[in-house]
Amino acid sequence: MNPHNVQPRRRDRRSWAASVVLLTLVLVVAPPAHAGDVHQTHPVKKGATLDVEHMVGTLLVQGWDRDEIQIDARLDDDERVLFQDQGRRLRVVVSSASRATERIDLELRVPSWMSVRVEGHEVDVEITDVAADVAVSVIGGDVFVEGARGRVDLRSVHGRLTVSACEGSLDLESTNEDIEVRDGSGRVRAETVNGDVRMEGLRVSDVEISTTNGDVLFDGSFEVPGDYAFSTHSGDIAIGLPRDADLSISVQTWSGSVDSAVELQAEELRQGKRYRAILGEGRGRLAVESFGGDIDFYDPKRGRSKRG
Amino acid sequence: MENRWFDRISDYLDGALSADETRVFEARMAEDPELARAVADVRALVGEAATLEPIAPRRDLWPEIAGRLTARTAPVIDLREERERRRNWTVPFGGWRALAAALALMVISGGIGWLLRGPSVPANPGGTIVAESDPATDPTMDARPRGPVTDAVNASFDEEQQLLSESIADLERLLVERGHLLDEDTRAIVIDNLVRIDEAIREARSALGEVPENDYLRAHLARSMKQKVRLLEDATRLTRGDI
Repeated sequence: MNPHNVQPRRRDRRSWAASVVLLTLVLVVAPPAHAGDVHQTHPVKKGATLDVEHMVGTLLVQGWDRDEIQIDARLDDDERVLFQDQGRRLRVVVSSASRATERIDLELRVPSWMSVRVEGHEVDVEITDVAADVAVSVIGGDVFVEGARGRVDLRSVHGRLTVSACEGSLDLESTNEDIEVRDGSGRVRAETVNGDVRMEGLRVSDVEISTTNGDVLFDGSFEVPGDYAFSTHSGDIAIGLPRDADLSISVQTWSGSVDSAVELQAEELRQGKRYRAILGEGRGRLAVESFGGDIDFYDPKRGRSKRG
Repeated sequence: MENRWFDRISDYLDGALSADETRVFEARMAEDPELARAVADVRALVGEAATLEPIAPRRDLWPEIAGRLTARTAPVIDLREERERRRNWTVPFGGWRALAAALALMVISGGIGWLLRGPSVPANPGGTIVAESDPATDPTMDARPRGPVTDAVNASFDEEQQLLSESIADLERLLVERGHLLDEDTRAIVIDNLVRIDEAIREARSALGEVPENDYLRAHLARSMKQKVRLLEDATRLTRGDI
C-alpha cells in the first residue's frame, strides 16, 4: 500500500460526506424548483385594458402606481402563462396542457387606472386597489373586489361575491351563494336565487335587490332622491329605516308578515297585504315586496328586532 | 329616481288614485313639466284609441286562437324527468333564436314596465305606515276602476306570459340537450335552483288563480319567470364554454 494514497482517500471520504450533508440541506431548505415559474414585468400604455382567462386556482390582482403589469405564477412543466400586448388590450391567459383540475395561483400587479376583466371556471378572485371598471365571470369561485371605481360586474354560479368600498355602478349575480356589499356608493343591482344579500354601510341612490329564497338585509343611508327596490319570493327582508328618511314607501306581501319600528298600522286584507306611507316629503322611493317572506323595518339606531 | 311618479300615470288616468294620491300626483305634475307632458301624451293616446271604431271579426276567431294558445303554452319541464325521457331528442328550435327571443322579451317588458309597476304612496307626513286599501271597498286588492290603460296592461301581461313561457321552454330544451357538458357540481346546482324558481312560479300562479288581476302577483310571476330565463341562458352559455 502506498502511504501517500491514504490521505487523499480520507479527504475524499470527508468531501463526499460533506457533499451529502450539503445536498440534504439544500433539498430540505430550498423549495422545489418549478420548471416554468414566471416573473415578468411589461410596460403598458395609458388607457389599456386587461383581460384575464384562468381555469382553476386563485387570481390576485392588485393595483399600483406604475404603468407596468407584473405577472407572478408558479407553474409545472405543462402549464403556461401567456401574455399578449395588443395595444389597447392586454391579455393574460393561464393554460394547462392537461386541462385537468390542477390549481394554478396567479398574481398580477396592474396600473390602478386599468380596467380589468376576468373569466374563469373554479377560480377564487381577489381584486384590490384597481380604481377602474372591474368585471368578473366565474362558475365556481368566490370573488372579492375592493376599491373599484366605475362599473363593477360580478357573476358566479356557485361562488360568494363580496364587494367593499366600491364607487359606481355595481351589478352582482350569484345563483347559489351570498352577496355582500359594504361601504360603497353609487347604484347597486344584486340578484340571487338561493343566496342571501347583505348590504351595510352604503351610500347608494339606486338599489335593486332580488332573490328567490335568500334573505335580504339593507342597513345603509337613503339618499334624496333615491330609488330602492327589494323583492324576494320566500326570503325575509330586513331594512334599517331611519326616522328622518325622506321616502315614499310601498310594501307588498302575499303571505308574509310585516313588522316595523316605524309606527305601523298593519291591516290584513282578505288576500295579501299592501301598505303605503310617506316619510318626510317622500322624495325617494322605497318598494319592498316578498311573496311569502317576512318584512322587518327596524330602527338602525336600535338594531333589528328579528335577527336571521 | 326622478321617474318614480311616472309609474302612476296609468292609475291617475284610470281614476284609480285616492283623493290624497290624486292631490299629491297633481302637485308633482305642476312641479314637473316632463311628468305633465307624459300625462298629456298618454291621455291623448288613450283618447285617440277610444275614437277608433271596434273592428268586428268576420267570424268568431276565439276557438281557433284558444286552440293555438293551448297548443303553444309550454309547461314547466322537470329537467330530470325530461332528460330520462328524451335521450334521443334533437333540438328543433335554435339556441340563438331562443336567446334572441329572450332579448326581445327584455326590451318589450322594459317598455311596459311602467304600466306593470306597483302601487304608489298617499301622503302621510307623520311617518305612519298604513294599509293602503279599505277591505270594505277593496277586498281583493284588485277593485281598481277599469279603463283603457288597464285593458292594455291585461293584454300586455298575457303577451308577456306567452313570450316568457316560450323562451323558457326553448332554453330548457337546449339545456336538456347540452346539460351533460356541465360539470357535475354545476349541473346539480343549476337544476336545484331551477327547481326552486319553478316552485316560486307555481306558487305565484296559484295565487293569481285566486286573484287574477293582482298587479303585484303579475309582476312577481313575471319577475320569477325572467329570473328563470336568465339562469337558463347562463347555464346554456356555460355548456358552450363561453365563460
